[in-house]
Amino acid sequence: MTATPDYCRQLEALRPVLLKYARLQLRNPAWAEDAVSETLLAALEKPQSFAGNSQLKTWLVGILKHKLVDQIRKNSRELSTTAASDDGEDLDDLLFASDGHWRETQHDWGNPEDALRQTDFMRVLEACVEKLPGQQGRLFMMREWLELESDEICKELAITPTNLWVMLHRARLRLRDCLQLGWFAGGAT
Amino acid sequence: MITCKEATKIALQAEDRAVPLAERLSMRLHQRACSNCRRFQRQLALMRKASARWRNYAEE
Repeated sequence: MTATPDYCRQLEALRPVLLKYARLQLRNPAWAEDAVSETLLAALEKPQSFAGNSQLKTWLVGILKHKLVDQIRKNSRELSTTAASDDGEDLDDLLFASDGHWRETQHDWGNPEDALRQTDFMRVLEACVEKLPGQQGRLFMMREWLELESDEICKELAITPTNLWVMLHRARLRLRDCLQLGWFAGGAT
Repeated sequence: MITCKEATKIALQAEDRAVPLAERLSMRLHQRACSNCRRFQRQLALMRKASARWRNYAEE
């Protein structure tokens, strides 16, 4: 495959969705633009490496993930200095009484398949990830979307495992709260 | 017996690291006796599946 006008149009059409994921991951519009530009440039320069047996979007997202890790590496110093400053309030005290018991009864979310097969649920999930505070969101995305191991994340961002677990603990509790409010409480299932 | 707060912390850590056997056991024992924590554990499982689905959805 060569870089035909049609190929270029397809790349251009996929730019917004790539940018959405880059922003969710990096939480910095300028870095996200760079990662997406590098991805599209790589795709333009090596159209022959697109085998055509997967979808163009799948192939581009694969490239994007590498470019996002590059951006994280490049900006790791800035990322580790902002790490502690924007982590938001601790949900633990809202969720648990001083004796360590849940303050409120926890809800049964029902059969996972009922929620997961609905496109709307995925939209709510995405919106909830977007709402996570900067560093929590970044770490959550590194873990769940880039699928990096905990020790890789600690190495890239020069943070301790304990710090990572605290941030992911907060992120997951926050996400759970958002899903409860945004989906399960509405009786959407 | 550990508290709900402690059991929750262990359940969350298990998403990101290998939790020592003794901690896992104390969490399981707590969950046997506590329906809130059992529900929380199922919520976490749903979130894990949702994340996996989302990754693939992003690449459809």
